[in-house]
Amino acid sequence: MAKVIFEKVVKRYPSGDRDTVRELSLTIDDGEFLVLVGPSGCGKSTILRMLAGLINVTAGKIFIDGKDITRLHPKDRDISMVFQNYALFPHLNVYDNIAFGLKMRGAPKKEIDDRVREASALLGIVPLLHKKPKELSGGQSQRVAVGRAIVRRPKVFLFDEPLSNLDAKMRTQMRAEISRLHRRLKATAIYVTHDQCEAMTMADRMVVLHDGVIGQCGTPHEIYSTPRNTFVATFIGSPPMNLFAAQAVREGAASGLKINNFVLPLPHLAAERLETGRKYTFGIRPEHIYLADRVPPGVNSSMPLACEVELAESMGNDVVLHCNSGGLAFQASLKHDFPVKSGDKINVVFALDKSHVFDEKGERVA
Amino acid sequence: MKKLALYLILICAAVSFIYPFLWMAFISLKSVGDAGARGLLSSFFTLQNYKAVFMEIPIGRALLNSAIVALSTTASVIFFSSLVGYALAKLRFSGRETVFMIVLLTMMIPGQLTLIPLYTLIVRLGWIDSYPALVAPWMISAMGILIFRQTFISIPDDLIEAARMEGCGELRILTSIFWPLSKPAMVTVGIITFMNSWNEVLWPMMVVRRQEMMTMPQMITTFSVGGQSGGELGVEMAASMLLIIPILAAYAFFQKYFIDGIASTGIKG
Ligand SMILES: Nc1ncnc2c1ncn2[C@@H]1O[C@H](COP(=O)(O)OP(=O)(O)OP(=O)(O)O)[C@@H](O)[C@H]1O
Ligand SMILES: [Mg+2]
Repeated sequence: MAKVIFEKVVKRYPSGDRDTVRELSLTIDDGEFLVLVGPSGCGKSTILRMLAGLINVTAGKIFIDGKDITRLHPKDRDISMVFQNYALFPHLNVYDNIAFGLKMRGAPKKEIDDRVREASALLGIVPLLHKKPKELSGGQSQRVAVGRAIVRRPKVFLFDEPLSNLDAKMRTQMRAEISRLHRRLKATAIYVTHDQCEAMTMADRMVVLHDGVIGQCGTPHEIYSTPRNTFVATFIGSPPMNLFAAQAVREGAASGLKINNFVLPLPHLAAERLETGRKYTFGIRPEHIYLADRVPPGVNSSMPLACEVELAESMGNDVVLHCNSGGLAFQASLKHDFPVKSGDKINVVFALDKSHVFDEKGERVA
Repeated sequence: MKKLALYLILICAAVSFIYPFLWMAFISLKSVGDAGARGLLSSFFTLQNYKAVFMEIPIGRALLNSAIVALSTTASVIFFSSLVGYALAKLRFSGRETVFMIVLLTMMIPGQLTLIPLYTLIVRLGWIDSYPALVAPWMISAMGILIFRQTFISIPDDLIEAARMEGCGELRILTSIFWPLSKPAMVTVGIITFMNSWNEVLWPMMVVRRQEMMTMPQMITTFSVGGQSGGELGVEMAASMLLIIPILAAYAFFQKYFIDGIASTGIKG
């Protein structure tokens, strides 16, 4: 239905002394579910609200289906939005809340009724139609808000942290429901969250935002497996990726990274790109660290590293170990099929083909 | 015991408020000879005084004039004050706080001070003896603006944004979202304005001379003070009763909202 293009969009709030969003260029394809994720205050809501037309754009242009909508009033953009705290109209019952937008646009009564009933059936809120918003639970309110958004069949759906006021169980359920709804409606959707779990599970493509610039844009898998910089690397993944300060060294023909007091030999691929003597950052995800005597077959592992377990956190089927090896602190996430306690001494290895190397500026090298 | 004392005091207070009113009501129902008596009750009540009022002065026409003036003033105050209140509470523009300060300042200027300039203006406009003369100067009120601003400020911005997304312009947001959400404030402003407008004597005296344009209080004042009533207390009181009844009716009808409104805004007329 709709392709959205941001072209060098800049936002500076009148009260701000710097740009909140800096030269954002981004294309969202028709029918795509794009998730904007980033830490609090990075400008996610700002981007969404510029697209919605709720705040104006300082510079740059926004297009929907090739039409420049940068200066249009929100009501003329054919976009609907689901807010974090639902923003249902308290004086109207559920039916009238859902019907509100259609009424404002002067749709015929019969059509309004058909569409409201269709949308509420889809969301399972038919029994609530005559209730007032204050009689609804959080999950029900959120469904009504989604109903209000879909009933108009807009070109683009916007979601601003729609699930953050719900409890964990409800959140998982609504997450699945919104994904299902999106597949059914095939509309372009932009979804803002600071919950990386939501981002990873729902996104066709995700954008990791950092201080008003795009840290990386790609499928969840791309972002997880090849993060473009240290910010993205540590933001996505839980527990976060371990980063070690390292220096490139050469021992004969092989090159490696010197971390602390040991040298990590590197796969050839990476070795070619390293400049001997320069400083780098070595990254390894906790789930790519194994016990030396339990390395799964096919993993290209490093030499064993002796370390002490300072804390073992059991997560049910995983256990997260906070390890320390001669002052080098890191976390390892292991399958919970053997006993490890705090204070134990263990030997671990890193899966080298799953490791990451970043340069001094934090940009990905390999 | 303490409670009993409290109730006694409250009853005394209530009686002292109500007594003059009751006295008026009873006098208006007594026959001419009976009116001078001290007590409230009388051997028989009559509507004769009311009949006299209707016979001697065109009170029907005055009632109509008053209704037209008070209702249009009230509607206009609610509309324009809420419009300004909305802008002051929710729209962002430079000078907003200054405008608000000016509105507050106008509340501190005594009304009598502006009467002469207003009168001159009305004369220049050639509006003497017309409805516009009675309505136009009072079409918006600072008190109304203040009450609406305070009420609107507590309505979350999210609702405005949601309404904009759903296709509302600013005026639609005001009428379809803000009005229904601030009924107590609307009723408060409505009743206070209606009462003030309905009871106004001085201004109509200045701009209306022809009898058929006179409002109720003006007519009744002229009638009682001007000697047309022949100094009959009963008839004068009957005329006054006719003046009060609409206000009582309106108050009884909107009482629930009115009290809510005063309690929530902390403002009364
Ligand atoms: N109306 C405003 N005026 C001035 N600065 C603002 C305004 N709204 C937001 N900001 C600033 O812009 C930055 C980005 O805000 P934004 O709301 O877009 O963040 P966000 O990524 O949505 O964060 P969160 O996850 O907390 O919702 C913040 O530093 C914030 O302080
Ligand atoms: Mg936000």
